[in-house]
Amino acid sequence: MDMELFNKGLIAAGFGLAGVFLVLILFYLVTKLMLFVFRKFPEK
Amino acid sequence: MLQLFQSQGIQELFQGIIGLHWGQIVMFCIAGVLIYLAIAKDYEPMLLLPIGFGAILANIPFSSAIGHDGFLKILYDAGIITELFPVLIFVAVGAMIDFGPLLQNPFMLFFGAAAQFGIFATMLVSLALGFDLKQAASIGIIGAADGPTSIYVASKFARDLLAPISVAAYSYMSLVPIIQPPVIKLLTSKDERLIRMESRPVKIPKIVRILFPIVVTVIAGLIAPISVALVGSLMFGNLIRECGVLERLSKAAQNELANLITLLLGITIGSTMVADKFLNQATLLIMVMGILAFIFDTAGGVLFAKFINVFLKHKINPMVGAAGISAFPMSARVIHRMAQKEDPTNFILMQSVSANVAGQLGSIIAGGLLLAIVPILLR
Repeated sequence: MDMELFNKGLIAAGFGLAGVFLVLILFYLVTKLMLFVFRKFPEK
Repeated sequence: MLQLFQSQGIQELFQGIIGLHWGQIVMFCIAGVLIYLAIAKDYEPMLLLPIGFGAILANIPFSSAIGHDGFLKILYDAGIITELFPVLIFVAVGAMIDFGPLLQNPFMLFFGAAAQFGIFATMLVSLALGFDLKQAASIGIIGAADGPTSIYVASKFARDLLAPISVAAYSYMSLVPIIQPPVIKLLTSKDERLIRMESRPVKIPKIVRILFPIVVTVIAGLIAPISVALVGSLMFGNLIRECGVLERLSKAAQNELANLITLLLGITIGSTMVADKFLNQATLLIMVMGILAFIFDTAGGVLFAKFINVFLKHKINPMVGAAGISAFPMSARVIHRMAQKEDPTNFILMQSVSANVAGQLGSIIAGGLLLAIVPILLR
């Protein structure tokens, strides 16, 4: 096993999984914000 | 008579039979199994049947379907190499997805992230088995449980492995009802499987439904621009659905576009299953890695749900975590059925569907991030 390559894989996996969480956390916050705003000021 | 048989004209006439070797016969058998699973077992028939038949067309010796001017080669160059088919499929899928359940319960987005664990864990196992980083990432993405994403990433990173990766992705997606329950049972107690979750239908303002696909595209695009083709096409399809003024286009995307591209995609992928390239150790390993990816995904979702339950007052049924994979709506149905089996009065379908829809978002984000990260690491 190529340890250098495996280390790169570990970095990719770490950043990848953290990135998915980060993006979905952002989606969560934005969705909550949109729901808050548009429930408070409903469309006419 | 012998001279007649040895003459080039006669040999050319029988070149199909003379050119047949054991590898192609094995591929006919594999194609037969795929067609059988599609017709007799109803496992992803829209894809497994065209893939199976495409494999037959590709393995007939001197097949005119895959040669330089063969129609399958033309489709491959036009639809797979250019990534057009997966992207168009995403437009169709986007038009089919109702994000309503997710918008009612946005917390479920986290399960869409946790259940992508299998992608990254499988990538590491593949690296340990000797695949290079791009190949390992393409194999890991089988864990996205999302055919078009697997095809998109594999066509960018490892075209040689496109056929086994696609076959593994679609086969295991159809086997979710068999793969997930034992893993979930192994990781949860009966008490946990009996947890009830409140579900209160909430009205989602129309403006939020319209803004959601736009905002998601912008956020994902700003973080990983390379994911724009994937996320953007999915969300474009969803915007057509939700805007309320393009009903005809929405229906066309859900029906005509989805059917046509699925048909072409399946037979084109099947045409890449040529014996010389398909029958090797790598294919076998990819099939094993594929099932491993689904197991890791399921475990990741369940364990994450158990972890956050430590901090929650109103506990989450950990089985819902397993629905965070992208195999929609099969995974949600499996989880709901399991809950009903434990307690027929326990309904967790809404929550499972929310997690499942979140999984669709999570899987394409994971694919996009891998496409962004791996080339940077290889520089």
